[in-house]
Amino acid sequence: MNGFWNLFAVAAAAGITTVALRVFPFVVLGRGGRRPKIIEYLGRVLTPASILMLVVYCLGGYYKNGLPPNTVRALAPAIATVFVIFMQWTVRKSLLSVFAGTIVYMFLVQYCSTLGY
Amino acid sequence: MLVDWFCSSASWLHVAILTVCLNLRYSLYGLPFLARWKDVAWWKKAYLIWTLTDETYALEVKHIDLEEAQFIPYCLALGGFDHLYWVVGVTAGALAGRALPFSSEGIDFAMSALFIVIMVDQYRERANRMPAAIGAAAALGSFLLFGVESMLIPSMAGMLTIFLCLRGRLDRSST
Repeated sequence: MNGFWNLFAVAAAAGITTVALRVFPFVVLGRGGRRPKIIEYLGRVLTPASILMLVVYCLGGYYKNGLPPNTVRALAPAIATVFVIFMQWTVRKSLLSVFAGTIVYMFLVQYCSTLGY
Repeated sequence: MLVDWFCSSASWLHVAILTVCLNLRYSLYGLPFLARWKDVAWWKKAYLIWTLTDETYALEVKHIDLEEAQFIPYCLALGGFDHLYWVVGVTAGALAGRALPFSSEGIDFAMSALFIVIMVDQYRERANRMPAAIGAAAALGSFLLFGVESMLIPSMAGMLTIFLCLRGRLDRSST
């Protein structure tokens, strides 16, 4: 599968699955309205677990070719992550944390990494 | 998130399975409205379900005690506006992205930052901590074993197994 069709298949898969999940309870439970306990449980635990998985997935992407030789580049994701956690833990403004964290990361990889460490 | 999948040339099956795990919550979002939306015309109901995103859900559930005559128009309007914001935001982003006057290297960290923010917010609730730790352990394990490109399915399989095995303990502690 090449470029366009792969893109198309990925978009279609994500879109159709998402809509199907939203429709699902209305179709299956439309009449009775009783929810299966195990679905409720899985929905509850999978949400925090999948967020952690995504964090690992995203951060892991920065190290997929091993540690970058440039020290600043190697440390930048870790520094920015700690910064975002700190911002969100203290200030609690989600948009600000995302924005500031991204700026810090961009500053690190674009400017600080050219300083030669 | 889709952007990452587009770039990583993940197969559609990967994406479908990941979407199920990620968006399983959408199936739960419908539950409170099953009874409230019972008598709505099918095409309106279809739109209500279509626009039932995280933010729409949060705002609709907040006002679920409204009378029928107010609640349905409220939900429709809310869904419509959220829909509009999405379309406008995406279009503006696509147009602005091309005209950016500075290097955007590293801007992809915004996505990581967003997940980290959600993680921190969820951590405040005690019941989320154990599931989050299990998710992190499963993800980290499969990252180290399989590498970042193929870590998603093993880590989801891993956490599902753990959650099903520990249901007796976790289900009790969080209710």
